[in-house]
Amino acid sequence: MGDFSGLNVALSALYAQRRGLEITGNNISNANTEGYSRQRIDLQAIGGPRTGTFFSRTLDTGGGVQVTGVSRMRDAFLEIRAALAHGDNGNLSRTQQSLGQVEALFNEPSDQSIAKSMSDFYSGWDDIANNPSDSAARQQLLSRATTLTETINTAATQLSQFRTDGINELSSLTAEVNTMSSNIAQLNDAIRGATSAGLNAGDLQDQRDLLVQQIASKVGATVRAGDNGQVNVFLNGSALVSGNSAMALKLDASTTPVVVRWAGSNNPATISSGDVGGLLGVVNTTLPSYSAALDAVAIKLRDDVNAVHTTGAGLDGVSGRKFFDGTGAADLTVSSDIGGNANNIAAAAVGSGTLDGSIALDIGEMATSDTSAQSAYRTMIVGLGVDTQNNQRRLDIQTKATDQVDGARDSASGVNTDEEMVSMVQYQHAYEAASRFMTSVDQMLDTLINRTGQVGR
Amino acid sequence: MVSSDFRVTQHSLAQRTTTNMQTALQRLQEIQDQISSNKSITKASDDPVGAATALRLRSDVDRNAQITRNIDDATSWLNSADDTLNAVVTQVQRAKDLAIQAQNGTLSQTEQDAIATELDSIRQTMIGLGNTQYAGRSIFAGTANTAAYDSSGNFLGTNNAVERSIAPGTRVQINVTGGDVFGPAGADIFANMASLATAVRAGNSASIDAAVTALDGRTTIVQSRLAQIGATTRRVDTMKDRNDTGAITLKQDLSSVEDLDLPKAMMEMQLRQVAYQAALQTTAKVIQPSLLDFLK
Repeated sequence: MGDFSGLNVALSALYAQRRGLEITGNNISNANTEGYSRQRIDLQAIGGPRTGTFFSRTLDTGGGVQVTGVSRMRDAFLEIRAALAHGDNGNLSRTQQSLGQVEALFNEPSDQSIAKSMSDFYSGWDDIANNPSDSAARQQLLSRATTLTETINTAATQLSQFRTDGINELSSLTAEVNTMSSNIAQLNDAIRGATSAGLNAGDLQDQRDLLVQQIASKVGATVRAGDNGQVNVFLNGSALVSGNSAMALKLDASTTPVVVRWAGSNNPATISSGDVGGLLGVVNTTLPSYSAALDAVAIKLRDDVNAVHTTGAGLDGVSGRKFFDGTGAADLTVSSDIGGNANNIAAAAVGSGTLDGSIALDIGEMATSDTSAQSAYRTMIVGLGVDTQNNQRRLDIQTKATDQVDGARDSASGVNTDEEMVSMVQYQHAYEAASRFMTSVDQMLDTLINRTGQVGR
Repeated sequence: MVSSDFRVTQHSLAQRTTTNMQTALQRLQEIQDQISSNKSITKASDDPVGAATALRLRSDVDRNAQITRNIDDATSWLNSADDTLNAVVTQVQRAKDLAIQAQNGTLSQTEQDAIATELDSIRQTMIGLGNTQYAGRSIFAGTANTAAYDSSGNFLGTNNAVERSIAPGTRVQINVTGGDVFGPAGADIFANMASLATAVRAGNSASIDAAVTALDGRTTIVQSRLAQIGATTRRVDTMKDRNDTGAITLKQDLSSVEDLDLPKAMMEMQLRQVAYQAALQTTAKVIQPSLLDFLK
């Protein structure tokens, strides 16, 4: 060791410890920053004894310390798992949201629901049978029937409104995903530039990884590591982001089912996970299936009642009138054959006298039938309950799994302030020691320069 | 759950405790919702099988209430018919008493005319009874929307059955028609009364006997219809008892499916409250200290 090199050793130590302290400070500052990965400085001793040849001896003691880089504590495999878990979570929670909406719409079991309106409707027929000439009973049935059809109409309209809302949400989600994927591509480019220039790209990578997790929860993407710290993002095997280029998606709502396509090739992009996957399922499967089931209930009600009603005669003796009109749940109405005139309601069998009530009794008894519209409706509601419950259970399990992965990621990347305090104390002490070392070298030199050779002065 | 080499950070601790507190609070809210609504099923997914049963029972309860109305209506109708036919029998008895008086050979023409006039008025009373209405409807007119008889005693109604639904899938005929109980047109009870009055006016003993015999025959039929109405009333009454019991059972069943077991729910709420408070307390203890508190 040269006489003056001691000062340089002390200087390198001061630099390195100060850098360490800075990194620690940065870690503490970002303890609550979403997506931030804690950083560590990588230190290496300078010079020092090289592996000597046989019998060679060295007196070289090394030249201090140098910072070789800053590393980002992050587990790439956990990132991949987290992306998958977030995708599944998005899918299930979006589906759950819609099922909850549908359940709230039907509001069963309660006293304000389609089932209750149906019960009231069937009961009304018995009141007519009890007194076919009573205009109050007839008017009551007419208003109950109107209530029933309007309740069913509203439910059908709401279901299709949910679907329209879902398509609108899909279209904004698609735009959001496009923005994210092009941001990821830009960040990838910046990271490649920084990495190849030997700069610390940790913060850029954190930003990018956060976007990757967000895009995964939207469309259920898979992530693979690329060159120079870049990542590639795939949708069912097709590249969404490849290096610095991003492929755009677009929503095609002109067809049924609604599909998401690649904007470039116009080919369908298969998305079965994430918010988008969940919404596609809701828009293409869940909501249409409940609409269809409600249509089936409305048609069953119309056909069952009409089949009996047309064989009966109103108070005026005219038979062959339909009771319900309409082609499905959305447009079911009390028939124009009734025309708002309660006397046109057929309670009597033809030829059995004006005040016969056997037709009304027949329709009233549908209330207890196991093949009526009411029982078809019950089956639908139970199906809805089972679907919602199952999905909720899957969501609960998936949420646990996602929390676990997030916990593991945080365990690898998160900032522990206690640890940082320890590092801070460590670097501070090292800094103090290096200063002391410098002082000591300085004093040695002072002795050598100012006090040596002064004998007898 | 957490292995020994699992690093714990303040952030993950905060996240985890927030999640735990949130879960505990959610569970507390769930049970409070149930208690305040007193329902264990508020939506189908709470218990799909229970919801199916509840929907079914709700519709059964509605049906049951309607059947109660049907039965009450049937009972009133039957009572009205019963009262009317009993009154008819009384009137026939009076007519027969008058006929016996008329058989006394010493009556003058004036006295015979007086008896005949009284018989005519009894006949009018009977026609009035034949037109008895219940809730604005002639009970002996079948399904016709008219009075059963005109003032001369001609039948205007039909002989169709009037039925009431008194149990799911069970209907009962509640009417007896004019033609059935009072006899076919031209040979009905009113015609019998008319010929009795004519015979009394003429003082024709043989014709009086013939008319009384015909009246007796008709009275037997009226009484058998009274017995039939009695039997139907009993049947309807039985059904009413059964339906009333059914109403109670259905409501109990519905309550046991839909309603909350309150003591159990209160107990559960206590437990969840304790869990929530415990979460709050541990959070308060755990997140406060850090190494900072101990470094100088």
